[in-house]
Amino acid sequence: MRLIRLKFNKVGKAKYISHLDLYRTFSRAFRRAGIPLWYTEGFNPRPYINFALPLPLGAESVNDCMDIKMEGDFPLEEIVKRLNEVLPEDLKTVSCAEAVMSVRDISFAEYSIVFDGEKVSLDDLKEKLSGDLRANKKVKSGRKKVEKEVDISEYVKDYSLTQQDGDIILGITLPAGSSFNISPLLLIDALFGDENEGLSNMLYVKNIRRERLLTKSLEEFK
Amino acid sequence: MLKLDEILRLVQKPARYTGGEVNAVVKSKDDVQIRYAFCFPDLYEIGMSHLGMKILYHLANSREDTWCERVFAPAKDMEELMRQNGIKLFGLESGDPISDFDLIGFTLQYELCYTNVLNMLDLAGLPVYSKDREELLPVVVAGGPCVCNPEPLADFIDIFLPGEGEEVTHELIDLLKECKKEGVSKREFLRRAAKIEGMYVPSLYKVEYNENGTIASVTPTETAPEKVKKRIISDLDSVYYPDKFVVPYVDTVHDRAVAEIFRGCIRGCRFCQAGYIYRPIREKSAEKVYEQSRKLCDSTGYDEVSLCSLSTSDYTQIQKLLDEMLDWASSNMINVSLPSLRADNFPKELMEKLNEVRRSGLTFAPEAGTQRLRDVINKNITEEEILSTSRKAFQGGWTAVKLYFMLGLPEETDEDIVGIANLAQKVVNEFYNNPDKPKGKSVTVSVGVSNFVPKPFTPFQWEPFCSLDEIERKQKLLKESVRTKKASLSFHNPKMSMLEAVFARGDRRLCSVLYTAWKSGCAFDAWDDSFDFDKWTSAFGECNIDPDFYILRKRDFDEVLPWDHLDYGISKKFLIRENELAHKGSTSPHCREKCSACGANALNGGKCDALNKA
Repeated sequence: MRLIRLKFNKVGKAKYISHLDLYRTFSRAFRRAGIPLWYTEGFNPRPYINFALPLPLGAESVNDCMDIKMEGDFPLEEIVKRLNEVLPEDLKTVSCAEAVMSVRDISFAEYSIVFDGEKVSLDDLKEKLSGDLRANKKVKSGRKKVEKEVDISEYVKDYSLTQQDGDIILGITLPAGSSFNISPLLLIDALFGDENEGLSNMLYVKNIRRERLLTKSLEEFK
Repeated sequence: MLKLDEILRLVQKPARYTGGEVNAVVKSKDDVQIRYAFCFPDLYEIGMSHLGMKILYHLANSREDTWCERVFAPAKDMEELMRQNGIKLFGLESGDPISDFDLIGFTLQYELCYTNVLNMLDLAGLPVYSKDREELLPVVVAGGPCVCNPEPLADFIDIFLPGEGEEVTHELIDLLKECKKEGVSKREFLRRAAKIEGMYVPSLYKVEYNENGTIASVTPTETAPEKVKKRIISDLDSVYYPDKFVVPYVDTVHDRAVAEIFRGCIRGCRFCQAGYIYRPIREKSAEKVYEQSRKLCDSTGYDEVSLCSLSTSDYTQIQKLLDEMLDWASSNMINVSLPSLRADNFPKELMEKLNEVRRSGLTFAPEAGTQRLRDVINKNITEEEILSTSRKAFQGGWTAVKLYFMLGLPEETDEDIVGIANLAQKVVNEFYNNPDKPKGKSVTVSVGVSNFVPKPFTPFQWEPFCSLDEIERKQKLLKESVRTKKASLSFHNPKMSMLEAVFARGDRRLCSVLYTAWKSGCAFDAWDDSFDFDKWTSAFGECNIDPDFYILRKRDFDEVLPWDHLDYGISKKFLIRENELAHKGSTSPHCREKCSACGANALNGGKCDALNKA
């Protein structure tokens, strides 16, 4: 049994494919491509496809990671080629190789967030980023999920702000992974709070893109 | 003002509105002469599950001169943002407003989507009334089962297309192309359309009423025929069937490949409209079904194929088909699902074979609680058949059974309602009587109870609908009669059923009610969270129309019915015979046992596949 890690880009219209829907989308693509995946055992056998780290709906990602399991010696170089022939335009695979690390090694993720220059200024963003950053995060309390206010200021250290075509791009690395994760949406909530009278904070944001998944020592996840 | 892309960030399930799915057809608008918006008046998840739309979408797109796009009713959150920001209803493939298209086609699957039809026309920026759309383009047409009585929508739709759409779609597009080129008026276009078989132009018919409110006469004018005959496809093996489906991203209700195995039904259950309006029986060959299933799975990547018909086990070639198909299916990890199986004629070995890949649930539709009432409605399934199949299923490891019933059927007594509870109890008992029942497991018998709605072109088309008070009393009685906790009851909303009953057999005067209700905010009436009965009540009041006239009255056999000028091949004499047999509690044999002379074979040159033997 081989554990194979595929890198893929999910951009444009494909950013609206939710995490759950992405599983179906890929499992069908593998079938169309004639790539035989290993099926789980049990009552409802299904192909083994595992995404390294869920992405919020509406965010793009490049070099995103997904694991598949295969038996036999299906040639790796065929996988990317065949999949890209059957995948929709905005969802394409980039590379594939045997997995080196464990998904538990993911500790950080790098994002670029494009803010609408007409709705927010560079100075304003700078000030907000260096100030007090608090937002409500859904956390588990026993069996229930509850909202809890968290202070994320200490995680917002490593960032850059650049201007491009009138918009402002925030490049930032945030803690990520199964044990502790700061979603870019949480950061956006912390930046804008609920001061815009019920309208979604997403109105300030033109795009969110996850650029890379990183390990504890900020190495690229492989 | 926000743009579409900005709005998508703010709505639930944005993938409903983006298009771009695998197998969606994208063309260049400069390369085509006809742009066609195929509209399903409900949410994406519902519409994308509908086989007819898949067929006609790809059929229209198989023409080089036509680009057909999909349009669904946007959910309320999306609609609100579209209206606020001046975004008109658009086709999913191009994102272009459908008001710029040449042809807009709705499929009418159930009566409670009618307000959505109006709402979608309005969201497109078009006048909802046919007479107010003075230009030729876009032409607004409608097909689907509800078109067998389209009168409540007569003022809004330019042409109705009764029957099957595969041939008439081509004829419609050809005619429209010709008229567009010649630059003729809308009136002239409609005059020409009315001459084509299977095109019903409601504006060319004059309806007059008696003093008691019933219809006095329906008179065709100009080029319109006395009766509009529904269209059927004669040979299912040679008719167009798509080799690909659009594969949705979001989870839809039926998200799988579908192979149609036959049209029509031999059973003649007297309440069931589908059992009559899709006659005569026409089968597809097993070879064709298998070939189409394989092609669809290859092009979509689906791991499930559903063999679709009104009663799958009545397919004469089922054994042959499954023998061939199941080896392919299990070696490719594909699940073959057979909806609408009958308990009485499905071999156990086949049932076991079907479960090799994945196991699905077990559902029965006895429809009535006692044998006497099942005889009235001609649902020829016996209690012993239900119990013995349940027993086999429990022995095979199943722990859940669904049972479907109706309340308010003709000739129903309280005994029949208590009979529903008794039958559910007996199924529960079967589970506990099984010596090999799985340890530590319990059984769930889900009892779904809907309300009987009399429909056109059925033997019950003259019958009254049960009053709301009476339905509520019957529901209460049933609740009190169920004693086991293993049976869970779920009821259909009686007020929704009542509205469905009004519109199912309504006439043109209901157009004003529909318009008024929609104007007051009614939409998505089939959805519990948006159904607003009070608004409907006021709409009836405002229009001075008594809904009880349409539902509580038993109609005479000689009354002119609003759909009498539509010919679905079913003779009225046959329906009257069946109605009389029902009231006597006598059953009719199914079509394969003995032909009851419904008359539908005349639509197919005298042929009917019900005469084929397995």
